[in-house]
Amino acid sequence: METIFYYVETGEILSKKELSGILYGFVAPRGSIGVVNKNQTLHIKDGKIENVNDVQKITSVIPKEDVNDVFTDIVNLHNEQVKKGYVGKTQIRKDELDEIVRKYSLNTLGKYESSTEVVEIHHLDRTTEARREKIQKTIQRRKTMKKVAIASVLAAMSAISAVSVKYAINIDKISHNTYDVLTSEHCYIKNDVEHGKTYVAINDHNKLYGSVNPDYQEITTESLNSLYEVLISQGYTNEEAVICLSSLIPSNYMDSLSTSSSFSEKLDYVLTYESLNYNR
Amino acid sequence: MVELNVININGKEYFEIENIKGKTNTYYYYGNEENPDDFKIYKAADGDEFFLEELNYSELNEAFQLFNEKHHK
Repeated sequence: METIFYYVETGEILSKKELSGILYGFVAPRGSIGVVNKNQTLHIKDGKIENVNDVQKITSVIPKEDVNDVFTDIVNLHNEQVKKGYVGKTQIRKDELDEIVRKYSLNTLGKYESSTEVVEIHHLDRTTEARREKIQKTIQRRKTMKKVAIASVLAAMSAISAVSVKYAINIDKISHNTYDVLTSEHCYIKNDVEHGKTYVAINDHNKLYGSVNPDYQEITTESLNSLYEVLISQGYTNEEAVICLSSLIPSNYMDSLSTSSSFSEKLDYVLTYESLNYNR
Repeated sequence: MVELNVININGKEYFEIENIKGKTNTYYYYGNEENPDDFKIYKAADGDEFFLEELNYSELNEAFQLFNEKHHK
């Protein structure tokens, strides 16, 4: 959600340039600054919040004399986050800025005194913590250029091509074997490629009793988990069950199932595939 | 010689071969100068090109499929 900084006296929204100037101490604030998330209750026209009197009652307000201190804290906190590797160096992300301002409001301005607001902030902290953990696992893609021999580039491309062909062949085998295992348990998967939808019929009653048409329903998190449990009950490990389902079900449905394996472990699992637990 | 972006993972340097935009993700392919078999594929984390994230199995399938479609037509 977009965070908006505005002058509480006039409703004027600070431009990106002015905000940046104040953050880094090049520009002096022209008044007390309010902080609000952009939402439908704001009436914005020509860069101004028209209903500023109503808006400022429900938002954090940084008094003019505190603006420089608050913004210095924001920059210092951002620099700490950069040192810890939580955020990129080049910019302060909007959510980071919003979080810092909220924390500052909690500690200094005493805006969040009711228990409801405090709970909401704790919840935000947990979300932020989860995000930090995720960010710690990510890799920064800096624009650091290096001269590389063309032969090395071609060799790496050939290696990716060769592995991807083997990977595709094995995924195809995995897909067929998994389909057989699930069918033997009266579970069926059908992909409607044209409409980008996947349908499943789990332990289908019709099929169990000899009818030819399984009762397909669009896949949900629950039915995906049921398919996963079917494979686990057949002796598949978590890793194997996830690979097998991934071979049949498009990635947009697979968010709820994941493994902690690294890239090379994932490759190894698939490239060395024979029949996994098919014959267990 | 060509000039390419590089990333460093566990003390090893990988150069960016290319990136391919899929239906929901953009995939980044990296090679290693010392060992061509040691390559990496990432996706842009939350669509942010400055942060890269590991792939799950389904995404790996898609990343290879896109690579093959592009280079084996």
